[in-house]
This record gives sequence, C-alpha cells and structure tokens, in this order.
Amino acid sequence: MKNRFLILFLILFFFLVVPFSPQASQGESLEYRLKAAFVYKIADFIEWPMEAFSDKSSPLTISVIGRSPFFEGLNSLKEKRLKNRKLILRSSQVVDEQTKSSQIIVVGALQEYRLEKILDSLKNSHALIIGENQGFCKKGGILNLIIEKGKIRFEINYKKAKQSGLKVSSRVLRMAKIID
Amino acid sequence: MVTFMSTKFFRFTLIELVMVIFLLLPTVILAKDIPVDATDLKELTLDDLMEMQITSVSKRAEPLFDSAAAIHVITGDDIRRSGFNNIAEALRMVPGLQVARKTSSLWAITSRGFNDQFSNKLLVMIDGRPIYTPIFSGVFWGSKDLVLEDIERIEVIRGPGATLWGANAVNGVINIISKNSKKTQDGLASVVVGNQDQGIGSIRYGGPLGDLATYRVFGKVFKRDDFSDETGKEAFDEWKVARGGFRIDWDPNEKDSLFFDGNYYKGDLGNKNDTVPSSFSPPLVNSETKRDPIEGGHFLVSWIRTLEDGSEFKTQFFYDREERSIENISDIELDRFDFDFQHRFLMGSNHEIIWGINNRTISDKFGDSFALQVVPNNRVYNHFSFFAQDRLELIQDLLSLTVGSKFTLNRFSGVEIQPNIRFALTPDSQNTFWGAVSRAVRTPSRTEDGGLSQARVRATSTAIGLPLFVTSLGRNDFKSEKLTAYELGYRSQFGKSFFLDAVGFFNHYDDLRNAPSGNSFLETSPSPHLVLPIFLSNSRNEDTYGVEVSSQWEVLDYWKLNASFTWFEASSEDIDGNVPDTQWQIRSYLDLPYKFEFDFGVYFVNGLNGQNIPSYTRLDARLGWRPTEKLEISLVGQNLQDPEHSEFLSGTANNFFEPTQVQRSVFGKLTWQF
Repeated sequence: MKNRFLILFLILFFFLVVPFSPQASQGESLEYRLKAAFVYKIADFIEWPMEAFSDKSSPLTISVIGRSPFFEGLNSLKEKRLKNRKLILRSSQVVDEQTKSSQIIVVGALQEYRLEKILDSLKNSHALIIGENQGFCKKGGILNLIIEKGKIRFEINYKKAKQSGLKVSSRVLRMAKIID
Repeated sequence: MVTFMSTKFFRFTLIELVMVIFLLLPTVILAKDIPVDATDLKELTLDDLMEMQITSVSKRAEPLFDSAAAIHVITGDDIRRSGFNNIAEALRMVPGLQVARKTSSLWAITSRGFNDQFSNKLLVMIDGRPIYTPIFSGVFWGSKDLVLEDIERIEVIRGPGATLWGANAVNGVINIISKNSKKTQDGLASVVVGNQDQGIGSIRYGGPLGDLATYRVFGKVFKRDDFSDETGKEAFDEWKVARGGFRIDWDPNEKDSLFFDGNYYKGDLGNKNDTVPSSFSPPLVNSETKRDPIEGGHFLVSWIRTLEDGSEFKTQFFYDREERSIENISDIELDRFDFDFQHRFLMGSNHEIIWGINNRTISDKFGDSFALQVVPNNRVYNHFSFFAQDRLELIQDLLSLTVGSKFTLNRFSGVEIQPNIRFALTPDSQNTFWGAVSRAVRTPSRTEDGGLSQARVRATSTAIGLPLFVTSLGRNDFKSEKLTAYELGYRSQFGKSFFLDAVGFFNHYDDLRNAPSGNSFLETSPSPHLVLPIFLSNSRNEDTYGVEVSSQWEVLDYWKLNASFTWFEASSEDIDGNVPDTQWQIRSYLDLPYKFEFDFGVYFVNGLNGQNIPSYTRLDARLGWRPTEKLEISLVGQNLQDPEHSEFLSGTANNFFEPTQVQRSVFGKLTWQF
C-alpha cells in the first residue's frame, strides 16, 4: 500500500514541476543547427572576390570536409539562397578540386588530427574556411565557431581573410574575436 | 495476459495513471512555444543567435533526448571524475543497475532484478560486440577491459532492447563505445598505485596512417589484491591480467567509414571454494586456493556506408576466442564468429525503417571434471536472427510511434518472436514523455540445455556416513524465459541547468527457470553415495516493478551534482532477496582554483534479504590536479566508510566461487600525454 503511494507521489511530483523557460530550445543537434545558422548569417556579411565564382549567376558551393554533424545542420539551408545565388551543399573526404573551388569550406571537428594538412592544401583558395577546433584560426583557417559558457562565439583571422580576397563587414568584425 | 490483468496492483494503478494524465495535460499545453527548427533560427539576427544557449548539462543526453527507452549515458569524463578504475565499478553510476562485487574479480551486475554472478538477462557489448559468455549467459567482467581513457561513452538501456540487439537483452543492454582513433592521436600513459589496485599501467599511442586513416595501439597490465574473507583475513582472490590491442579507423571516401579493432589478453584469477565437490571419498571438496588462467582475444571489422539520401548500411564481422580454466570445474574454450548487417532508410516523409540480419556461430569445448559434465563436450551451433522496425511520425514534431520485432532461430529453443511497440511524445524540445510495451526472451544456455549434462553443485556428509551430492541436471526441452515489459518515462530539461529523467516499469515473466529438487536416491558406483537431484525447469511466473529516477544539476559554473534513486519490488522473496529494494546516490563534482578538482560520491545500497547482507552506504572521494593540459595527478579513496563489507554471497550458479568482503581502497593515479 505504502509503496504504491510512493510511486504515485513521485510521478505527480515530477509532472507538476514542468518548466516555463524562455531560453533556447533543446533537441537533436541543436549545436549544429545553431552553427549552420551562424554560417548562413555571417556569410551574408562577406564579399567574395570576382575570381571566386565562375560568373554572376553561378551557385555558391559549401563543401564539408570529413564526416560531420555539420552536414546535417547545413542541410536545412539547401532550399535557401545566399548572396542571391543558389546554394549547393556537398561533402568530401579529401580536399579535391571541387572542394578547392567552393566558396565556403567547413572543416568538421574530427579532422583535428590533419588540420594543418587540410589548411595547407587550401592556401590559395578564395573560400571562407570555417572550423570548430581550438586554434583553428592560428593554423590558417578564417572563421572558427567555438562554444563559450554554453553560447556560440566566433573567431576571425582577418589577415587570412584579406589574403584570400574576402571582404568582411565591420558589423561582423565587431562581434568577433580577431585572431592574428 | 489474463494473469497480468487480474493482479490487484495493476487495476489500482490504472486509476492513478488516468489521474496523472489529467494533471499532465494542462502543463503540457501551457508550456511555452519556443523556436525549434532551423528555419526559425535563420529568421533571428546575429545578435539573437549569440544569445542562444546550448545547455551543457544535457549535452550528453542530446541525441537521446527524445528516445522512447530508459537510457543513461556515462561519459569518459564521468568515469575520470568519479575515480573508478574499471568498467564494472563505473556502472554503479547508472540508475536502475544493481552492481554487487562478489570478489576482487567477480561482479554480480543486473538491471531490474535477477542478480546473480552470472546475471543472465543483461546484454553487455563493447563497440557492438557482445562480451557475455554464452555458456553461463553471464559476463566474466575480469577479462573484458579497455584503457579507460579510450572510452568515448557507455550507453545503458534498462529494459528489453530486443529489437535491435536480440535475445538476452531481456533486462537491459550495456554498450561500451570506444573512441574513434582520430580522437586519440597522441601518446597517453597512466599509472595507478594503491593498496587494493596494487598496480595498473597502461600506455597508448596513436597516429595517422596515410591521408585517410588513423590508428592507435595500447598495452595495459594490472594486478589487484585479495579482499578479505569472512574472518577479516586476506583471502585468495588476487588477480592479474595483461592485454594489448589496436584500432584503425579508415574513411576511404565521404560515403564509407570503416574501423578495425583487435585485442589479446592473458592473465590469472585467484579462486577458492569450499563447497564444490571433487571426489566420492572424503575430503569431498578441495578447498585449496587455485589460480585460474584466462586467455583470449578478438578481431572486429565494421563498415558503415551513408548514401546521399541519408540512408545507411552497416556491416560488421567479428571473431572472438576465450579460454578459461576454472579449476575443479572445467576448462572452457569458446570461439565465436559473428556477422551482422543493418540497413536504415527513410520511406515517405515520416517513416524511418531499420532492418537487419545476424548470424552467430559458436563453437565450444568443455573439459569434464568431477563437478561438471557437459554433454556433449564439444558443440558447434548457430543463432540466426532477423529484425525490422519502423519509426513513424504520427504528428510532426509531436508524436512518434516505433513498431518492431526480432525473430530468432536457434537450436535450443527454435523460433522466438520478440515484438515491441514504443511511443514518444515531445510537446516541446524540453520535454519527452514516452512509453513502451515489449516482449523479450532469454534463450537457454549450454549448461541448461545439456541433455545429459550434470553439475554436482554441493557435497555434504550425511548422518548415515554416505556423502550426498546435490546434482543439477540439464534437459533437452528447457524453454526460453519470457518477459512482457510495460514502461513509462519522462525526461525534462528545466532551464539550462537541471535535467530530470524518470522511468516506471512493470515486468511480467513467464517460464522462469526454477530448480525444484527431487527425492534423493542411492548410486552405488564407483562407491556408494546419495544423489539429491535438482531438475531445471521452467515453471515459475513472476512480476517485478519499480521506479528509476536520475537528475543532473549544474549548481554553479564549477559545481555539478548528480543524484539518482532506484526502487524495485518483486512478487516473490526469491527474486526480491537478491536485489536491494532501494538504492540512491549523490555525486558532486567541484572545480577548484589552481586547476584542482574535488569530487565525491555517496552510494546507498539497501540490504539483500535473501543473502543476509546488510545495507551499506559507500563513500568515494577524489582529489585531482591538472597542473598542465598534459598532466593529471589524482588521489582516490573508495569504500572509505568501512574497512570491509560484503556485497554478494551467492546466487543460482551456486558457490562455484567463494565470496569475499570488499575492502577499503586508496590509490594514486598519474596520467600524462606526450
């Protein structure tokens, strides 16, 4: 008898304490849906040099290097347009020609062990190179998405961006941590 | 289900459940609408995006937040901070698991009742490779091990995991997942020195293999001391094991991902028993301390191919060999070949279908002894299974239903069908309410289905001067044990710092193994003696029920608290007596200045009435220091509350191994990366 009331009490107790938090939502891969939204927003504030595209109406290609949950997060962007161009999303295990000629290159976290190699092979590209590992910008990447105290922050290697011919709006630079 | 419906307990609870749902409904409806999918996220400005929180507390639960099962995840960091230095002990952190240490090298671990040193209703795997010994349907925890720093996480699902993992996943599934070698691309050495864990040394090194692959190799040795016997003297159960292995991960292209994994180990365990018979004439038993050698290894290949449309094929093959000599009982050799294939794909806009096949071929060999004769000595047999499961979104982002079943075929019990149905209700992304009804089956082990197998489990002298041997006899028609389980659960993220998970279950078992004894009779050869036969049969039906609650609270940025509570009841003293009826624990993790860490855990385990073991409250504490990123020093005390105490004395595998008392232990650990 006593035991049955214990269960009932416990069940009722927990159900009655339902949250009303105005904070962010949870759910599968919120981190990567959020990072994808960052990529989309920041890219809008970037100007690519003319050489980065084949012509005025060619699509904007995003290449994800390696297996990464970033790919699923970016998937929801497929129907959208960016800088008035169609978006193409692809992934590749190696840095092939198609990757090198993409305008946005995302390097997943698991690629940390060969980060230097990957960034080295992208030395002459005009892409916005995005990563999510500590020290990404120092190693030659352009935009690094990191998590600080539960929120997403980003670092920008302004020098490298300039070298690649990319113009980054001051609005974005203000919110970023600038890495030299 | 007539018996089930007529139990008083269920009828009463139905009314209570209805009341509860009425109370739940308004809270669910009133919960605030919060942007969920990425489309909404893109409407926000950059400033808004920078304000959004990814909660750290539930991060470990993220991918499992809306799963319709009682799942708990232990991360590598949980193991490190809690000070546990082997896997069996680390499982104490999981609510709903009952972990009892019988000797220095033997544990009785189960989920939801039926604990036994050869707990036979729990499926334990490393990287999807089962590590239980099919002979006894249990796990010899002593011989399955990893470098703990290479564990990514341990996923524990209490309750039937039948559909995906097949027979034996009756009361739960534990999957120990090791890190992809990409994440262990450096050297790591760790040394433990203590009074019980006298020495544990492991070393691991990883590096790239060409452009597309990575590897790691490791070596680990340990020696653990004896515990004490019932008089407090040093007992016999010291043990030592050395092992080595490797892992290679290879991603040849963006679609395919493979890994190879192999391991070899050798060691010996101290063992003693006073009751296993060893001869017809006095002394009937041999109570010397023995050393039981163990040796074995495995090789595994796993290949996952992901296609553009998101569908996935997974193929896995492994070979496993285990050799174990249990002196006076048997020399066991076991070879396992396993092939597994799974396909996951989306059909239409709201069906996710997974189906698969598995074939396992087992070849075993038992050496005979006075106590145990398994007939036949060698056997090669197959388990084949097929499963299919459909997860459909009945209402987009709100209600999903999973229906599935596994079909197995094996020589012991023929065809078995294990269906289950689960639902998950996610009114918003902070709450999940789920339920499941499942059927699961435990197939007979080799010693249960042995035809003419017999095991002399106990010897006593009788008043008339003749020895009496209690003898257990196997039978050809021993049936599988069956379970019908009903579960309900609730998972909630409160704000950013509090997470709660609660599960209630009701299990009904049919055809449970029991062992009624017959009348004793006289045998005359080779010398006159009495036999008291125990016939294994399947005539027991039982009900068990309980509640498991766990919570995580990030009190401050540098202080986390974990607490859990488990309550369990069974309809018969028999099952009830081997498992504590309540357990609770509180674990605190505190980050101090100057890179120090202070962690402690209090674990209360109620007594085992059936074994006359009193309740105990365990206290563990750890002081850690990470002066640099590459160095960690820690001092850990375990079981500080008592110099020694008993946790488990016996079980149905009756006294093949003598129990000892768990002693207080203190050790220092040094880990450095290079």
